Amino acid sequence: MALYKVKSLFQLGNQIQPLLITQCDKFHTTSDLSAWSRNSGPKRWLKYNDVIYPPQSPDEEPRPAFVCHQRTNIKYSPWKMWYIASLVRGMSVDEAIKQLKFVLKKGSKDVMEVIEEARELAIKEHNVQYGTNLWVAESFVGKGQVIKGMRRHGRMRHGLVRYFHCHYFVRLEEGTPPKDYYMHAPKEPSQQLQEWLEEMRKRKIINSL
Amino acid sequence: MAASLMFRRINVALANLERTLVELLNPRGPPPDAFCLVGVEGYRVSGNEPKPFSIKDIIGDGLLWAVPKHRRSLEKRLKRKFGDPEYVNKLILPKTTLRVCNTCGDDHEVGVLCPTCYKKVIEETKLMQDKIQEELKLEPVETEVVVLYNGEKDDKPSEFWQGKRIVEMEKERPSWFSKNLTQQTTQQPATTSDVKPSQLG
Repeated sequence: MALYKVKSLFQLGNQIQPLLITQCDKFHTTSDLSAWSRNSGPKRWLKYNDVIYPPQSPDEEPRPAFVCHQRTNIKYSPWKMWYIASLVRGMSVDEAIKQLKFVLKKGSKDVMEVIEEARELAIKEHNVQYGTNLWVAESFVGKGQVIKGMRRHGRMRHGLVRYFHCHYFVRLEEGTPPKDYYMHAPKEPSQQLQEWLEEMRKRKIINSL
Repeated sequence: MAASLMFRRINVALANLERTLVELLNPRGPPPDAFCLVGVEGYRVSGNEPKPFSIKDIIGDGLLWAVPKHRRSLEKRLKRKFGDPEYVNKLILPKTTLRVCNTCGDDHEVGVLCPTCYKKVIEETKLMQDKIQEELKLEPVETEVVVLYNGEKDDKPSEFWQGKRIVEMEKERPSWFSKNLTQQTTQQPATTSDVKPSQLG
């Protein structure tokens, strides 16, 4: 009976061991934020990847493949990251990565990595044929955790220091990027002329025949 | 005597005129006492009346210095914060000055050496410099120093290397490093001591 118990415990030990190893494996490589708290970042964005669409009929316009990806709690200010996210919006993935290499900001490195990761995911899991045939459909920033600290000023005064983190979200879509992503694209001269002519012709002199 | 009489008669005539005018205007006799003007402000004599004390006299319009006159609209606030093409553009614009390197295929800015290619050159240069340092140490450089790669010393006869210090790199010559680069000049030495242009005028 005792022998049987020892044997079962031994088997149990064998099962637990690999689990402990995998948990301790990432002990010193995780970021500071996950040291004390469970990594509770935004999860809703990634759920868009799990949506299964019904099959399309042959005469319907084919729905382009897309992939949603994110990186949470990047140590960078969300208001500064917004400019980098705005640069990349509406560009093809190759152009985006090329431009980001020459942006002299801290956040550009993270954004570039996220886009490259998203491209890999698209090819592996989301049925995208060519990694070049992708464009950045959505690119935006969210405010992450804020850690508060203190600093000293002169004359026995103190200051509050806020260490901001941000989340970066991106959605890559298959296909060529649109010519004017933002609605206020400059109008063609011929179009401008037409509109001016219409305005002129609409005029009415009040109380006239 | 006659003038004073004249004046007296004119005065009397005027008084009579006044009386008749009054009688004309008031046919029912003089107006009742209630019609008298009582306590009505006529012309005020501009005397030095004491003005009520106000801080504005001292500071003038000073209370309104360096103070916002109107509320900043949301549009103005957002333009200041995030920038606007017509105000101050804070957006990062995509660079049009990027070109593709013909050798390695990476991107670089116009007018700048391709960083990936240049990095290779830097590494090779460093190796060469270390080797030269090893050979020459702290001696003064009096003769020409030549850096050779594997198998290049045997290309030329030994007299060629007579007055030169040789530094041998124990590796193959990189494909991008042309031998001509180490050649000092292709211009032939001068045959005459004439300074060009000569025989002018």
